[in-house]
Amino acid sequence: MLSFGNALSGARAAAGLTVEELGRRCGLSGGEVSALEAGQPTTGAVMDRCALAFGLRVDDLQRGEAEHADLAMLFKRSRAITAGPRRGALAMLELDENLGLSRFSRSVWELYDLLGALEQPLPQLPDLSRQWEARPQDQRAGEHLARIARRELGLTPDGPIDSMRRLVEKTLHIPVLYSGEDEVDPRIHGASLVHPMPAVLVAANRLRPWVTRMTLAHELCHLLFHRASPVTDPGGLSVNAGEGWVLDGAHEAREQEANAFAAAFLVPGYALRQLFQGQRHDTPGAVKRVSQRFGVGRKVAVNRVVDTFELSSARRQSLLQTGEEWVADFSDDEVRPSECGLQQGVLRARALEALVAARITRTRARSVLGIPDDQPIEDAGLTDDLAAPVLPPERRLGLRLQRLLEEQGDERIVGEVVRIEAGGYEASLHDLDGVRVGMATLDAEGNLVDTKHA
Amino acid sequence: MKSAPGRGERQLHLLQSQPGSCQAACLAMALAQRVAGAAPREIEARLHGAHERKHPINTVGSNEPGVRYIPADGDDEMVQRFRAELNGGAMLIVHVLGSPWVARLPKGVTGPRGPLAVSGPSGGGIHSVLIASLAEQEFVVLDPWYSNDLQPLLVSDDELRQVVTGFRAVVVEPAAGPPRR
Repeated sequence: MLSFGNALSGARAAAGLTVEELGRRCGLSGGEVSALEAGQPTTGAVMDRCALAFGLRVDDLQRGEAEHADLAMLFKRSRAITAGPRRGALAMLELDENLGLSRFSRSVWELYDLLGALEQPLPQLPDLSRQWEARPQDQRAGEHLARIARRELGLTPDGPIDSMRRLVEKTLHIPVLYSGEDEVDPRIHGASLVHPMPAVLVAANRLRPWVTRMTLAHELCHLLFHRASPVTDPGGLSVNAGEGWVLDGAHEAREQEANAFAAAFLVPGYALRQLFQGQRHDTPGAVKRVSQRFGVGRKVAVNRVVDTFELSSARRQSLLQTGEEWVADFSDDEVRPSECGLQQGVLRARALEALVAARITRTRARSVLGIPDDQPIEDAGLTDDLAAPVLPPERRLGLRLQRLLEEQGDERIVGEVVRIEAGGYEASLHDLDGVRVGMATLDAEGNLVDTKHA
Repeated sequence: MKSAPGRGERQLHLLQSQPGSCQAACLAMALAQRVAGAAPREIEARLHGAHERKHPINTVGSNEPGVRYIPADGDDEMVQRFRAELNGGAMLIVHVLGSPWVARLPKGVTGPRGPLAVSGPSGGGIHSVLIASLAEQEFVVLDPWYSNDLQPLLVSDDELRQVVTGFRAVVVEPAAGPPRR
């Protein structure tokens, strides 16, 4: 384990940040960051913010994980790109901008520990990058990649993917976190990271089933084919940004490749040709049929028909603009509102499972789930004991009274707090040797009424 | 709370020499790790009662390099802060409430003076214990009141939060050089 100061310094160096840049992400000045790196003591809250800047928990930071952390690598790449003549894809990761990716990364680290505590398998995903050599301007790249992926994952070459969620989450065991409103910058559609384990983020604005399917397929491409890409560091966070971002050449190619893969993975060209054998494929009705059979939206369906049958761009435009509205029925890929949130869904399920199995403590579970001490954990699967607030009212009052005394410069130590028959509470006060030297009286709401010396 | 007598921290244990010297004993255990060959018993004797009406914690805190205070508010932040300090090689002395502490001790933990006195009209007294290190999810704690037969004790973060008084904790930083663990 590293000291906090050394760990912070090492992480900052690994990410290529200046003290001012790191300070902006942590709400500190550059001087304060320097002081922390020199070993100045600080509060747990500040340490937590510093670790979060790298998408880590304090323990992870002190284990030196930042040197491999995807977010730190991303900062470094971002620096290289933004320093160039063209503000690139990762310029969106302005160093003082909170896009929510650090919280996603931290949730994955939490999940990684929970899976370890539960002795559950980690996702084992084949690295297919060696099976594919990207060629610039390859119009068929998506089709080739999709064919390789289907083969290596044991899928049929041309059948519809009934449920992308089931494939990614259940078959491949890749945890997927669905962000809640305001947790991730709305300009981000999805993200994936490989360290400490493959994991995917689907942003709140991508939760219609056919959009979720595309996002999952897009991120799957990054995890399968881009882990050792020469345009990035080994591993690393992939960010699927919305339209309108200016991408640098290498990342733009990678994102386009992932988009092409996603479309071809969900709608294989071979399957399309089979579907329309001897039938018209260039009508709005054909597009609707593709959409409903393969669980993709209108735009993807049109593009797949046009690309597969090499239709004109004019036909593409007319197909995009005409035809009735429909919704593809792929309900297995719906995301329930209760699953949305970086501390919900799979993270919540594993945390509660670990709590019930006594693999983690109540305090840890509350920390992972972001539930305050004085609120019960709402879950029907928990016993009253596990779900109850972690501290009884008397203990909370005692701790609060201790803070109050210290703020007043009172050096006495608060002993046990007991409820009294007349209403309210009494607390014994002790000197530093533990000798009882006074008494504090609190009203029924826990407000301090008076203190007495013995 | 569990007993883990197989752990190496047991060798650090110091039985407090008299009632009321629990903090001096905890400080002695921690400070002895900073100087090769230092005798904990001599450190305890030097600290306890050495300054009339001045408590050993205040005396040491103001005089010894590498000794400082941090908040111990009994919340999740405290747990994180303690873990970070321990991960950095420091040891911590915390005040605990006597009766909930004693109630959680593993069966069989005893000492030459019998159970720690926790009686009183408004609950138990205050006691000090040393958090020597971390084990997986638990804190490794040495209690100077009891003999080391069944020590160290493994204390979960839930349990720690149930017993701390909320009074600030003392951090004893490691000696210069590689971390102890």
